[in-house]
Amino acid sequence: MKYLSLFSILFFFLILGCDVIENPKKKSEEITCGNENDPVPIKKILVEDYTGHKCPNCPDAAIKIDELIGMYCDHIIPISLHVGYFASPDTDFPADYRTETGNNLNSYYTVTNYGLPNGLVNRTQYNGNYVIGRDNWATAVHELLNTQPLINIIIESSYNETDKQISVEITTEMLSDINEQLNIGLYITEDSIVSPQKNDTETIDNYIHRHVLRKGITPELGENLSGPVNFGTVLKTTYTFAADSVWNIEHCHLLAFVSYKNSNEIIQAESEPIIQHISNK
Amino acid sequence: MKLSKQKKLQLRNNGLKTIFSFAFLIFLTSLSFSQTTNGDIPSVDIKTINNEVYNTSEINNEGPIFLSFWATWCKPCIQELSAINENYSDWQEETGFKVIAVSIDDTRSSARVAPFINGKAWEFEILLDENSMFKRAMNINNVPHSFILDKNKKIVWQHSSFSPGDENEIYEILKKLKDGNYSEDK
Amino acid sequence: MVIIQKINKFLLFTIFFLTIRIGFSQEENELTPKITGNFETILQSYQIDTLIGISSEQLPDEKILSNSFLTLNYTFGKFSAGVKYEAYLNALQGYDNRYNGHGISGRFASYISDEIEITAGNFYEQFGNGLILRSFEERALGIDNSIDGMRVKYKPFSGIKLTGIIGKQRYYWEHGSGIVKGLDCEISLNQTIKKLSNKKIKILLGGGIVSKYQKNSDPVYNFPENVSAFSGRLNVSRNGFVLSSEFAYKINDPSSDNGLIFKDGNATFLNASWSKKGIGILISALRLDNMSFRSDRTASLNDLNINYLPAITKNHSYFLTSMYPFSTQANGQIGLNTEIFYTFKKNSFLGGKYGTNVNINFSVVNAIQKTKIIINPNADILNLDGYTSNPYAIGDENYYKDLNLEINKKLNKSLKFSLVYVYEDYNKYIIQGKDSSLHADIFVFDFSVKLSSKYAVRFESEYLTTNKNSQNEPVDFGNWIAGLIEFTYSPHWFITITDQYNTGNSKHDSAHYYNFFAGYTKGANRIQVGYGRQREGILCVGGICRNVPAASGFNLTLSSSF
Repeated sequence: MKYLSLFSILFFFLILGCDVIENPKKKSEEITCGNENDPVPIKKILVEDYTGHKCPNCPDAAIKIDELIGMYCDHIIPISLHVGYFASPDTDFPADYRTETGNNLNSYYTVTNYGLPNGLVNRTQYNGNYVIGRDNWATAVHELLNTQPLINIIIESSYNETDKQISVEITTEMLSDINEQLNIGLYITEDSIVSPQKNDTETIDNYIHRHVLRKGITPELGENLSGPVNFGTVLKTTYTFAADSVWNIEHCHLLAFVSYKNSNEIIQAESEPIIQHISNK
Repeated sequence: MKLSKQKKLQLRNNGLKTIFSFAFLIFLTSLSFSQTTNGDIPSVDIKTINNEVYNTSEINNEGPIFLSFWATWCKPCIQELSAINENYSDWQEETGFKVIAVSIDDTRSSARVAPFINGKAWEFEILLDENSMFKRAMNINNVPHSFILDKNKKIVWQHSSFSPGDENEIYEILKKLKDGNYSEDK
Repeated sequence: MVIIQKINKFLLFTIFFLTIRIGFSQEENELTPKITGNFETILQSYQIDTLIGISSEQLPDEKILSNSFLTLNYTFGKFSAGVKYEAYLNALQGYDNRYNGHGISGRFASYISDEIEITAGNFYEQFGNGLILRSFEERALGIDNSIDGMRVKYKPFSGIKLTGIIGKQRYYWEHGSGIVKGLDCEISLNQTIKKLSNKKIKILLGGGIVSKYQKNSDPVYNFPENVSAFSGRLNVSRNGFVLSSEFAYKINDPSSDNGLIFKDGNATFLNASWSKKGIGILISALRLDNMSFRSDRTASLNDLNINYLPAITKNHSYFLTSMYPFSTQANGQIGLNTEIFYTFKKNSFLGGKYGTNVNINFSVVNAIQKTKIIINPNADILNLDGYTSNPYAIGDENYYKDLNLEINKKLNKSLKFSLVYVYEDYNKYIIQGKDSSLHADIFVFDFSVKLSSKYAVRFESEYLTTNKNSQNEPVDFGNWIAGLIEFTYSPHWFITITDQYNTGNSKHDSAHYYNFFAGYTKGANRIQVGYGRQREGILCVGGICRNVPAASGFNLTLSSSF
């Protein structure tokens, strides 16, 4: 009897097993810019990278964002939010990219509690958490892409150079009936700002900070857009505000999103440069 | 695993139900029985100083046992054991007690225990509780925490923390146990 | 989740069953049901203290935070069951606020006989030195990676112990997504083989395997869903010699910890000591190469660790000696620790009337040698192993170095003192992820006086100095002076006044981190009240650390065992 039980235990031992991976990366044809047959407009996902210029691992997360864009192209709407201790300025890192919007989002989602870098993907839970590590962003995006776009967002803007006024009109078109309260949000991001960044043990003096959140035009979680809506409803929202003199307006983007008011989960996001480059689109 | 807040709440409520049911059943059982307030030593597999498996139910002595939980990084624990060590042979002769010092050093420092106690020239029986299994079974929050067991391995006294002079109280209890006139209330 | 409900039901059922059993067995034997438990609560108030960098922004919204724990264990003969209740309302600063909330955090039921032990519910377990499996609880650090599932321990023959486990790890109030399975076998040759039973040499063999399963849905990488780690160990002892050795190996396990590399990992841990009355010598060595092992490949901080990698350096216990603690570098380290314990005999020249106890310790930890693998993007199969490492070479970068000396001396019946000196090199960037390396020299003088058979007083004075930077200023927090006065009145009372004075640094002006504590202990019940400032720093237990922010305010601790 004892030998029998020993044998059954040894059997269990053997079946524990493990997978020895021969080819770590999937074949490149499996990775595409989404599906070409996806109906237009496509689903666009907001990927928020919470970062800081004194955070030694944060450039890794920026690389992940680049990889995501390489894989999913226009499906990705990126934004970097500088928050917490790692984003505070000092003599070696004089820039201050912290914003009230970023700080509020950080306290709402308690991102810095999980350490930086970390992120949110459409402010949706993945494995029971809103805060998602950079190694899970691709998987989270991949899962979200299986869902259909429910809203189309079109951003149109004009910029007056003399008084630095920016006028924005956001058109939201419902591609389905949505039985919930909706919020709309608008942020300004600035791309390609050069300033020092910690990278592992070294400091990169001419680091290019990308997709940096500059200002929230709406409250951080957005403001009321509409109640339940039917398929085909078109809503227009307008904003007018002044550009900050610090911004390089040529590099600034308008980032808009529509979310569920209750869960704050983002349904669709969109981003457009303030000054439309002819070569761009 | 995606859990909505409600679901979590529900789970915790289930948890609460468990604890209430638990308490109620315990209450029921205690109605019909007079409990002994002091218990035996639970059976837990730990290790000897030679890394051999040792089950705590084997702890034994003809006289009382001073069972002390300590760690090499715990100052007051070492104070306590040093204070006992100074009088160990005298008290042992007088009361027939023995000291079992259970180190809760984990594998970071459990290999230090043998040279440490020899370096201090302590002569206690030493056991290694590397994953605090015995400590947990004895419901200890923090070390130092010591017990006096009578010859039937019933806990007659316990104390957490150590201040110089505590060894006198320990000695008094051991003497009373020897004379058979120890009562728990004082 | 259904499983939890089922286990809860199982637990209730067991207790119910026990209740009935008691009714029948009362007269036949003397077994009585027993309830034991323990309780601990810590409350801390927080206030603004700009001198040590606490502005209104840093304060929690709640004026008082608290962590509380209650454990109840019920035993009846061979059966036992228990529950653990935890309340973080809300979690103290420095603890992960995913703990916020309250509820049953663990429960179990078990049956123990001489031959077999079965546990269902939450349990703690360690295989060997923990290199492939250790689930444990460290309340001071907010760590509890208990496994929720089943465990069977089986002793088929004398000296042979088999342990099998399966379950999911606790993750705050939930479970990690991975499943952990493991089997360990330990053979004590002296007990198993009759011929050896009376030999002085004791030999223990052991081996284990732990496998974790986590689904992979990554769009780019073929992450392994089943990852196994193996270990073998041999312990030999004879007279004063004790040798323990363990080697562990882990199959490809890309994770956030190792930067998603597919390299196999391994660990070698050796401890050798020799001692006899009055003298002890210890040599420990630990080499780790890519040995982080968690049940979720993307977990971080202290979450969901399956294994435990001990820091082999000395665990210091004074305020300033523990200012720069080492913590294990799972991605790769090679370390050595040697220690000599010696007592100069009574009535010898150095021993004096009571003997003199000396302890010298030296440890050094370096990086392992690594040769980076350059990825050829055109290859059919990418080599994502990251690096190769020569196990016989030592990396150039130093992580930690510590040379320390401790002298303990009793002068007469009432006077005792200790002297400690620590020379420490600390790679703060590697260990804490910020700033650069530093050097510290630390001196401690600890003096105690026994005033009567009940009253005693103890003084500590400590000094820490760090190396200077190019501007000739001490680096990091700079220099510290610390002092302590502790009055004790045996067996119940103590009062402690401490002060750590920071002479200033680039971040803060000089500041006193004073503290006042008073406590009362009766039996296993203890109450302690305190007021003061807590310095920002790293709190470590057994080589695992957590960041503790600066705090100022009142605190209250209650603890009890019953």
